[in-house]
Amino acid sequence: MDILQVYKCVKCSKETFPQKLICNNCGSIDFIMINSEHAIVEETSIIRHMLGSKDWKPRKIGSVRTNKGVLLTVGLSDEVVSGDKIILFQKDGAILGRKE
Amino acid sequence: MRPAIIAIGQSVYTRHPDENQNTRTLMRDAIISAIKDSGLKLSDIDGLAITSFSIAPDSAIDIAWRLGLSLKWLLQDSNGGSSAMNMLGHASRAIETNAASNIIIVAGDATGLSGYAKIANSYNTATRDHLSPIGHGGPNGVYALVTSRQMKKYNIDKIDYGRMAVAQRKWASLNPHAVYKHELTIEEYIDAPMVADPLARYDCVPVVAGSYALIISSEDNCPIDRKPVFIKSFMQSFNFDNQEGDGTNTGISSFANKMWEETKMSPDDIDVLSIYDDYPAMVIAQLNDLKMIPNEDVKSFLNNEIMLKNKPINTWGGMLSAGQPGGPAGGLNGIGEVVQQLQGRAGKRQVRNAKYGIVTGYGMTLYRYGGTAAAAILEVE
Repeated sequence: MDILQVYKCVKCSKETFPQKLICNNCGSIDFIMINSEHAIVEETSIIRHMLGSKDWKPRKIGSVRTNKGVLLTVGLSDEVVSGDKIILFQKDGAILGRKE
Repeated sequence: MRPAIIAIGQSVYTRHPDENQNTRTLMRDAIISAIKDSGLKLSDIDGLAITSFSIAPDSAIDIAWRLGLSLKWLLQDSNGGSSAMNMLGHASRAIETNAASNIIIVAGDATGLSGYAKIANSYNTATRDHLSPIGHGGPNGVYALVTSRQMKKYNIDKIDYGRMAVAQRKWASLNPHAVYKHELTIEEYIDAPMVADPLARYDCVPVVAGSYALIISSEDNCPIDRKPVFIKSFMQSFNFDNQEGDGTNTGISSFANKMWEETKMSPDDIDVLSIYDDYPAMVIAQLNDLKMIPNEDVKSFLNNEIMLKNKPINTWGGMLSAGQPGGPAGGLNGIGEVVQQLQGRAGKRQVRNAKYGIVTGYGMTLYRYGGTAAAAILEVE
């Protein structure tokens, strides 16, 4: 498991994800990657059916907001509900969240 | 020349294409149908606009070649649910500036379910790299989250969205091309299996194989049995909020006031509407952005205006009932429906004395919701 990293504008400190080419706040093209561990879950859904997949197992996803306001769509462990504070991490390329 | 939409054409829409039906043959069928409807000859066509998720590795020029079309204007569009509108705008300006005289706009797909799934999982780099790895379920997962936000924002219950699904199915029962024509009850809607909470089966468009075509030309080329349909206003928006909003508004919100001011019209003047319906929540979002929902009272609008068919919205049944061939063709079908309504050619679906219609496009899910939106007011004189 890796800590999730998002992109921070070197000039104005605005954080964003995924990576942008130009900061939409200040116009800078310079970003650094920073750790982003904490978020709050705003909405969740359970994906019960995957088009074209016959042996799909339901999984939970959610829209979350990091403590710096970055909006992400992440995979969630089953016990997480809207309003929960979560820890963000990455595993096999997927951005995931589990309850703090 | 003053541009006008003069003819429409459609292939079959089918959930299960046979071995002779593919994107190219369905596009051919829609084009032949539109040519027949226009009274023109294939050789009169000197412009082609095309959109599809499933013609690669071919491009628009390959399709022109296979159709035997020699052209002086050609466009291939890749704006998903807004492609139809984008092509309409470009084609209209091409007629206006004499870049072409008779343009066919065609959209079609025959991806099949597995093909559509591949497209959905690699729709763009953000989807491929960040959404597919979590198993987001394609657009269903994205719009499930948007729908949840909309439900909270406007105090909407699941059953309220069902009013739209039921009403559009009633319209679809009058559309011979719709893939689902049987009546849908609110009980069936509620009992349907969940796909991506809160979206259930009837909130998600059925993927079909099919194609749709329009012909835009000068008003002088319009057959005498109908009125030419003019574009009174046309506006678009791309990436209006950098994906930093909540998705319950679309880019239409950035130009709707200007559209009403410039046309000196109001939402009450509109007789018939085709609102791009990839999901019920996005129909609501676009209607709201267009100021069509008084006081943003979404719940009342769904239960009264839509359920009771006081507002003729998606009178072809929309993609929710008639089917979505890939996305782009659904947008074109909505435009063609309003054209038929304004020309008095909508058969059993005909809205009485329809003079003004509004059509929209919405799509290209970037990460959290769609990034493209468009609207046009169409009219007959």
